[in-house]
Order: sequence, then structure tokens, then C-alpha cells
Amino acid sequence: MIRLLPELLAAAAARNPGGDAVVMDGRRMSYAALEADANRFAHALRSHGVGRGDRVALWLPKSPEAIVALYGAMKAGAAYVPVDPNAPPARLAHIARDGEVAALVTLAARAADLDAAFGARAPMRALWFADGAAGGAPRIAGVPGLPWSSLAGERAEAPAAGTLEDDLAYLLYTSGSTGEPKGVMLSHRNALAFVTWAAETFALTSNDRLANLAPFHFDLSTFDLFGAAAAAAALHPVSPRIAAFPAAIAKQWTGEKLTVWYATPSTLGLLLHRGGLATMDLAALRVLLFAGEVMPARLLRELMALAPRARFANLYGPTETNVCTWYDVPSPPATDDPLPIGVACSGDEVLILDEALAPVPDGGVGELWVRGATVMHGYWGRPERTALALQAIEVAPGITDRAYRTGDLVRRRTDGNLEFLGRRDHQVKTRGYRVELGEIEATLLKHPAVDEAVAFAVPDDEITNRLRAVIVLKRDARVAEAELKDHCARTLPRYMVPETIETRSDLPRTSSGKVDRRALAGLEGQ
Amino acid sequence: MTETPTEAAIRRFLIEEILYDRELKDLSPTDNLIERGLLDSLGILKTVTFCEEQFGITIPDDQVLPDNMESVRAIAKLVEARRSA
Repeated sequence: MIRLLPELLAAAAARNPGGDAVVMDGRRMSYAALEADANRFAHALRSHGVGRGDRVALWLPKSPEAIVALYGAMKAGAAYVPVDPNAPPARLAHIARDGEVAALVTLAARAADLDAAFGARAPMRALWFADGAAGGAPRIAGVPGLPWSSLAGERAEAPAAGTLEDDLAYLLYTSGSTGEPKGVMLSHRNALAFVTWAAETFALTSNDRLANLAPFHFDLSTFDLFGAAAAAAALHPVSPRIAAFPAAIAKQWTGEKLTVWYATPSTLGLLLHRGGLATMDLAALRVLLFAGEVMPARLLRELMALAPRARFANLYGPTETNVCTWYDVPSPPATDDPLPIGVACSGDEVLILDEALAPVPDGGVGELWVRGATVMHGYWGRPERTALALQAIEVAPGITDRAYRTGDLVRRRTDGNLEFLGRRDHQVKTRGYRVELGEIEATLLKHPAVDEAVAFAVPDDEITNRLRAVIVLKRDARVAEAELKDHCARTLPRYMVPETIETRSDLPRTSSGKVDRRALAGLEGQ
Repeated sequence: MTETPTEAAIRRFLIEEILYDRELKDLSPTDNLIERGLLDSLGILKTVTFCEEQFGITIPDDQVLPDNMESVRAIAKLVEARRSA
């Protein structure tokens, strides 16, 4: 019985030692080599006093070293904290402080930026550079960096586990409505409930080759990483060099005959409409999974026509629950109705409740609550946010349990499948990323010239939503749009910086005096 | 480093519409936009649309590749090639 995520890797290395674990940029790393390197990194962490109850941040482009680092962190007993490799250094510094990370893996090439962002003080006690850094290793906030080559001196045998299944495996930072990203705490048990379900449901074997496009701070990557390990299958991460180029990704996935693809509908649309997928050979594709946003029926029909023998499934779940429902697509959708998010999975149970937390009769609209194996432990260091998101509710007559409030409005169809209808707050999706409009607004309001700010989403065929903002300046203040974007880009990830920031003398309001986001987005009457 | 008018127009567009960052005002024609994580998929779509409209060319999807988009100079070279295509 597997209790911990790194045990998946150890088991794969035992039964398929010579098999490819990671194939990337012309490099091949076998399961035996990945297991040995992860063990070496775990020993190195332990020798710096990093272990159970600690956190190890990763801020580096996708690479085999990043995969060694995340497994090594978990083998040492710590949780890994993957940070958007393209986020500004200030965001990494904020997350490292908020998450009280004990160690950091990054690139020596980024040391100067990080040193500036951390200032005099850094929370970590140990620091590794995955890109070598021979000769005069740089320091970050006084912490000396160790070159990756130093791991060669560590033992390749697995360290004693010393970790329980309810210990944290990873901490994923997501956009927070009050202006600061919040860390979603997920345990080994949480992750394994999903991974075990997925590996079995999609019958993954060591003959599979899994695509990995999702960055490691995006929870879609947990299927790729740990689903591959569960089956001792090969993981084919997309090189950062081509990750923004649909034509190059389509060529890689078909050329390397990848059998399992998991991506957002936005990405699949780009592969099809900009990447030339329709002219390529998809015969190897066995399973195509998608999640993160609503799949347009038309796009799904086009994809299913290209790979008529492949299995297609819609996976649903916020980061706080990983995948908690799925819809196994039976046949190309006949109508343009939204694709359902399906039924509960991963050992979870779903409830549709009204505002008074009473069950909504079948066919009625309510908010989706999730209880069960994949539900997070809470938000790191934010007990009051956790208490709002995780509440003890009556899940059956006389039985209460802790459940996660998703904020998603759903309806159960007569065939039992759930339909997603929208959000009850100001969270939006762009390219599969979840964005709290409030975090953008809070950032704009930190600029000294800004008096009022509102961010809103304009629907877009290719990327789901484009982000825009309107501000009102303080009396006599002046500021250029470029300076405001620059201000946002200093702390927000690039995909959260509004494409336009317009200055107006006042904001449109609804009759109740609230800022009218629908009017701003040009959605009146829709 | 000298800069062609095409390079200058592309550099101005990138700085004003995509990169935002004041520190990039000195973006050189050969700076790698991809390695530095400056161009994401949306940025690339917008850059291609800009070049098509600004220079009156079409850029086929199968030419929107890392080698053709990795720097201001590479993008300008692609634009020149499409002008004579």
C-alpha cells in the first residue's frame, strides 16, 4: 500500500529501473536515476536540518532538476512549494516569507534579482542552484548557494521516511481576493486519493508516455508527475523554450507519440487552431483529459474527430480539492450545450446547497460543496480564511463533516451529471489560470496615484477571458498607463497584469451603488 | 548596437504593449525574450497580430516558432522574410 507520493517513485524504480522517467530537451532520465538523485537531494536537505514539517520552495524553469528537487523535498519529509518560474522576484520573496520556507532551489542566474528582492533577511537556511554555479557561488540575503554538483557526494539510498500520510506534500499558492496569494495545503493522502483514482480509471501503464505542459505550480501537473510515477510511465515535460508555441508543442506531442495528454481547453484550442494539430498524426493518443475552464462543445467535437479511438474526459476541481468530479465523454456532443462536469470521483462526495446550507432539490441551482479524500487541510497561516472555506456541515441526516465551499454554482441534471453555471464571487479564469479580480484591484490601489480601481474580465474565444482595469486617480494625481502596468508586473504574475488600464473620472455603478463590472465588460443585456 | 526601423518598431511595441517593465527600456535586439520568460502564449499572439497589421504581411501559424520569435532581431528577420514572400 502506497502512503506517500515519493513511494510511487521508489516503486517505479524497483519495477522499471531502466525505463524512462523523464524525457526532456533530448535528455532521458531513468527511474533508477531519478530515484537516486531524489534520495541524494533528500540527504542534502536533511544534513541542513530540513525535514518533516518544513517547506522547500522551487523557483526555476521546468527541468529534470526541478523534478528531482520536488521528489527530494518530499523524501526529506518536507512539502514542496512550486512558484511560477516567470513570476517577479518580489512574488517569490513574498511566498518564501509567507510560507516560511526552509530551503530554496533556484538558478544562480537569478541570484542577483533574488538578493535584491529579499533584502537583508531571508527565511531559508539552505539554498541550491540547479544550474551549477561553479566558482564563487553567489549568496541570497546572506545564505550561500550550493551547486547542484554538490549532490554527487550524497548517498543514493532512500532516507528513512519519517513522514505521515497526513503531512503536507505540497503547498500551491493561488490568487487571493484580498490582494495576497494564499497557500493551499495538500497532504500525501489528498494527492494519492486523486492520483490512484486517475491511474486506475485511465488504465495508465509503463507503456504510456504522458505529456506535461502545466507548470508545477498549477495543480494539473500533479496528474502528469505522479500519474506517470504510479504507472512507471515516461513523463515528457514541454521545454520552457517551446511552451508558448502551439505549433512546436503539437509537433512534439505527436512526434514523440505521447499517449496521454492533459491540458486546459484554451491550450487545446491553440494547438488545434494555431498549432496545425489537424494535419498531424494522433494515432498514438489514447487518453485526452482537460480541466481548468469550460470546454466549448465545438472544440471538443473537432478534437474527437481527430482522435476517434481516444478516450476524452472533463476533470473538474479547484486547487483546494484537486479533481473532485469528472465527466467521461461518451460521444461527441450533439449540441453546443456546456459540457457537464460530471459526477464525484477520487473518493469525494459532492453536495449542492443553498445559502442556508440546505440541500437544493434535484434540478435546482446551488453552490457546490466537496467533502472527502482530496479536500485540502486549509490555507497556510490563514485560519480565518480556512474557517470560511472549510466548514462542518450536515452531509447526511445526523452526520456532519468538514466540507470545502467551492464558490461554484452548479445544477444536477436528470442524468445525474453536474453542470457548472458560474461563480458566486469575482474569481475568473484566463488560460486556465484562476485569478481573483480583487487581488489585481488591491495591487492597483497600492499605487500612490490611484484612488479607486476595478478589474474585470472580457470574454475571449481563445483564452476564455482577457483582463482589463479601470481606475480613478486621486485629486491632482497623474500617471501613465505603462507605469501602472509596470507597477502590477512587479508583484503579479504576467497573466494577471491587465491588458489595458484605463483612467476615468468615475466608475459606473449599479442601482445599489456597487461598481458595475458587467457594464465595464460590455456585457449589458447579456 | 544599430537597429533597423523594423526592429525599432517591434521593440517599441513589445515594451509598450507586452513587457510593461521600465527596466526593459534598454531591451537590445538580441536579448532572448523566451529564456527571460518575457513572452507567453498571449504575448506571442499579440506580437504576431501587431506585425501582420503594422507591416501588411501574413505570418503562417507554422512559422510562429521559438527560433523566429526569440528576440527582436529574430522577429524582424521573420517580418522581412514574409515581406518578400
